Amino acid sequence: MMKLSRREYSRILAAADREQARALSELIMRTHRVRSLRPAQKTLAMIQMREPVSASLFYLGEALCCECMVEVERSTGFSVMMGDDFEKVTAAAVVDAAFAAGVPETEELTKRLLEMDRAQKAARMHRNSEIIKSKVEFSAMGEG
Amino acid sequence: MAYAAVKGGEAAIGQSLRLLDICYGAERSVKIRDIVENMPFLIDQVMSESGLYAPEYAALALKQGKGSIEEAVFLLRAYRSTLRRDYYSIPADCGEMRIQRRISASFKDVPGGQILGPTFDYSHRLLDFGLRDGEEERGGDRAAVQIGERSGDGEIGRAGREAESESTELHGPDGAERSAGPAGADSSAGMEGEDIYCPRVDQLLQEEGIMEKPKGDDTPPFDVTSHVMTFPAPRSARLQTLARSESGFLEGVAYSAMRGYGAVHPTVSELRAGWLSIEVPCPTEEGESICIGEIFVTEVEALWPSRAETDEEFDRMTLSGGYGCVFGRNETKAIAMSIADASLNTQGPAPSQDEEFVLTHGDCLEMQGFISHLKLPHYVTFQSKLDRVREKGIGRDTGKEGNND
Repeated sequence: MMKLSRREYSRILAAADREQARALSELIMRTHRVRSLRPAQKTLAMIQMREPVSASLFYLGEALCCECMVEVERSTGFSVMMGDDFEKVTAAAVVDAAFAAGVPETEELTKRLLEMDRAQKAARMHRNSEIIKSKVEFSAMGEG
Repeated sequence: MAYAAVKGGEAAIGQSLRLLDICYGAERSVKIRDIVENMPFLIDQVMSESGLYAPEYAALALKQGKGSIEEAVFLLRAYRSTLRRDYYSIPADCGEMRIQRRISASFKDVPGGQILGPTFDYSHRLLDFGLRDGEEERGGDRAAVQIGERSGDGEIGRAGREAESESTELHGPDGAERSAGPAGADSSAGMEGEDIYCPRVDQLLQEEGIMEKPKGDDTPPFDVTSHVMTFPAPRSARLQTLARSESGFLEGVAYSAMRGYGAVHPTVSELRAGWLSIEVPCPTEEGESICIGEIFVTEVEALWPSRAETDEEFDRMTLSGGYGCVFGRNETKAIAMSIADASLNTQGPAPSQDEEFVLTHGDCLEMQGFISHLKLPHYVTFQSKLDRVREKGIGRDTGKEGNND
């Protein structure tokens, strides 16, 4: 079974809706006790950018985020994501803790996350194909 | 200037606030989601000027402020100040942007192609009364009317149709070509609906040796929201300040620079708008990162050649760049930012070349707050001035000297 990195599953969870994230956390909560270490709360993330002119760094601005920390089987799970959906960020922290603890359900979690990833890509496909239709080749007058 | 507190008017102030709802309250309340979905450019402007990426909160602030951008930005800045900032993102690079729109005014043919994306640029600015009757659900058909396809031969309409059969190149975030090639492969790549990535135009100029490749600078950025800026300001302070500047101010500065109150009239090398994935370092596992989601940004790189009036100067002519990047879709502001950045790299007496002028007068909260404060009670200071004018005035009218006792 393919192993998802934290970077990958956090990307999928950030793009998921609340119900999808909750379904994953319920899979864990059915058989494991989840302890709250830091209840969901709002926070800010400063977005750092690298500009191409002199390849230096600057701050573009802040993003509203929420974060949560939980424990599953003595392993810490953490999530931070843009927005203020406390339920979703808590579910994502449970998923993270499950991966950190290596509980047997991680295989099912991975399968479902990969399905979600495929669905997210499919959802973008229609929009992308519409965008690419606006690709244009300008001809300068006189070039024929 | 001295300030003195005033007392009283509590009931009147309370009624004044109630009157906001009485006079400006709507019969049918607009839902936050409707504002987010129907007014995306407005939301983007509020987020950009408040320096806070939070589309729903921007919509909420607009609703509370009855549509006043000034009030919405004030509300968001005030709210933002109540939150802790616990995270700093790993540097994001617009070269890795998932493209919605990407054009170049400098080069007709760029690898990856010119992708118009959704834009008003080529629309007829005719008021669409159909929207009043709720015909907007027709979506694409309305767009066809806007670009003149109904009449048959709009240049862009024709270009749009050509695009379906022309060559498409899709690139990964690293610039590596994913699929390219003949016309057949192209349209299928587009129809497959893969995410669109394009290499930067300046990257190509650097490879050609026309532009110098920047060495890279990992100096931690200056944060204008936490520290008082001094001059000359670091480049990071300049870019952060310009990115959160009031759009109209920045556009005015750029316009003045182009009209002669400055020395730059650049060409847009590349304008791109799309989604950037944002990651922060994982606090529980060193060396790992967490994706917190995507933000939509507009980025502009502008190019301008060095001044060349003699043959020798012409031979030594080089290209320089100006940079603009803002939250959301706000192309005029992003272009203006690139012009202001370029202008501040030149020497001269124009306002657009004066760093302190440009960087200290464009923050909407500061400038609008300072101007707005003039309507609040100034009785003590004004009375003092009035007394002096009266004294002098009496002297002028009567031909007698005023009593200065």
